[in-house]
Amino acid sequence: MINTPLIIFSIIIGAYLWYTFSIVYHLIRFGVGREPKVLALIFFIGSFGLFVISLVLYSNIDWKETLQQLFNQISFFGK
Amino acid sequence: MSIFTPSSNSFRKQDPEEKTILVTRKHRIILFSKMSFLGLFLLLPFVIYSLISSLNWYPIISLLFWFFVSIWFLVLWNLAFYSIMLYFLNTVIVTSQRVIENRQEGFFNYRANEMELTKIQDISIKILGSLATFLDFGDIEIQSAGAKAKFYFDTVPHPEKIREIINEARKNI
Repeated sequence: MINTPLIIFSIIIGAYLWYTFSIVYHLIRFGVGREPKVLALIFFIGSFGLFVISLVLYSNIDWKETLQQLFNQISFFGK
Repeated sequence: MSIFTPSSNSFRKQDPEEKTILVTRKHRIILFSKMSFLGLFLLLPFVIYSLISSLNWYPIISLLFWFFVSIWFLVLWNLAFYSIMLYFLNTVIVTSQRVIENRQEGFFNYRANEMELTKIQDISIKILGSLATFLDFGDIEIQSAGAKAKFYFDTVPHPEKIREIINEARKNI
């Protein structure tokens, strides 16, 4: 059976990793001088930090319960 | 830890005996204007928060909201550094032998033009407007006798100084 959410999640993660790698690679490989390399490090740390925060917040959400309550609220407004 | 030590400003396809004299990019005001634009989008979640935080159904979605805020910041962080990357990879390099212009317009869109110092005929600069005068940036046009007749670098900082450096390098060949 195809797990659609997992495929979508994998595509998003894959695109994010490719994008992050490309920026770090370009700054380190083609940047002239010290500044681009330091910026690549700052970008990597920030990107990793934000990614971890997103992951923690994602895991803290009770998706089933939250979406159920949200739909109930929306249907309440619809009445 | 070598990235924290001063660099010799080496670059791709540099000749072994070639010495880098100057590496310059567009004026920082260009990067600043892009970052300011992105900075406005940084405020968007807080504006939304101020609008929805007082609603009675906010506690239901508070975790969901902050999850999307973190995704939003992650996207902005990546977009900001994409702009920074392009800014830092678009360089003008003056060496002891030539002037090189590196143009990076995307991950896979790279162009490099070069002009030998011996072929340079004339260098003219253009500083237009009060902001350019105040912040000391402008355009440089280099005329050459070579195949590529003209080089044009826009919004570079200290154009007068760059012209002097190129002229000095030409004298020292």
